[in-house]
Amino acid sequence: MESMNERGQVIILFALLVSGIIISLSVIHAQNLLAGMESSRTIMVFPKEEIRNLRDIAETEFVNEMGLRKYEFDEFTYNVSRDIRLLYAQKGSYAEIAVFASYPSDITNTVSYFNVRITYIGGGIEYNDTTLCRLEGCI
Amino acid sequence: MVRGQMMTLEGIMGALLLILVTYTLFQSSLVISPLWSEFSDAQLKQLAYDSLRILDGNSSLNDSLKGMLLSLDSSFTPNQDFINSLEMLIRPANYRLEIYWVNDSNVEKAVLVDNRPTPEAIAASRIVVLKNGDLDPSSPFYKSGAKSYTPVVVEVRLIVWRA
Repeated sequence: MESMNERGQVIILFALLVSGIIISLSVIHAQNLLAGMESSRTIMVFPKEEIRNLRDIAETEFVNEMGLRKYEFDEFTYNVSRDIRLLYAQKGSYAEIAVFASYPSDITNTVSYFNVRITYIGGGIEYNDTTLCRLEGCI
Repeated sequence: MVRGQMMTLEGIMGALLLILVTYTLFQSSLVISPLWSEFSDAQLKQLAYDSLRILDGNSSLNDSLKGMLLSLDSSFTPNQDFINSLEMLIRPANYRLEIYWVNDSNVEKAVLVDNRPTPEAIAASRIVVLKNGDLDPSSPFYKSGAKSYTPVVVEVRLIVWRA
């Protein structure tokens, strides 16, 4: 009778061990779930639309104005960048499209290419990107 | 003696079990649940951003963002073509439309569609670049004395909420 009791206790002990393992696995599962949620949330809050908007301005508006004389082009891009800075500042973030234009052509006095540096800082994210633009497009 | 040890082990295992269950419950309920509102907002936010992106087309079109801004006068009433296209994209959600622009280093604001948002509303915005030369002198954005290539940067902000 006594040995039967002891065998029962061993069975209970092993049952507890197995349930302990199952719970450990469920903790690992919960942690993975959390990691997945957190990483998808990080992607969700990333300001991709704001950055895409800034890129669109550089790739269309600035490229369309490449027919302007060098000093006019510099003035145009500087004013756009300044206004964008002000508009984003009132929302508590920082955005800038800095343009570094090439030397003007001797004949037409226009720029043949320019470099754009896009900066966005907001919501704990800092983004920097540089693009080279010609009349044919940007890379 | 052996039975005593077994009981001690059982006690320890029981305690561990309770700790693990409590830990798992707190981990899953407290941390995950507040995120769900963000996930549902994300869909509405993407809808608003996509609508603005679709509308940011050729300025010759009356229902594009540029076309609408170029045709604005001091009453700040957007043309009906633009409203129809916007509502086709946004409905059944409700919306409010605002614009912001820079005038002599000051940010000015105008409300184009004045609906009152709910606290769950989300905002999306798009920056549009106009040129002074394309504007009518009666336009609120027109800068008299400025060159034709002088840019006018306007932020169009769309606030959307579920009706």
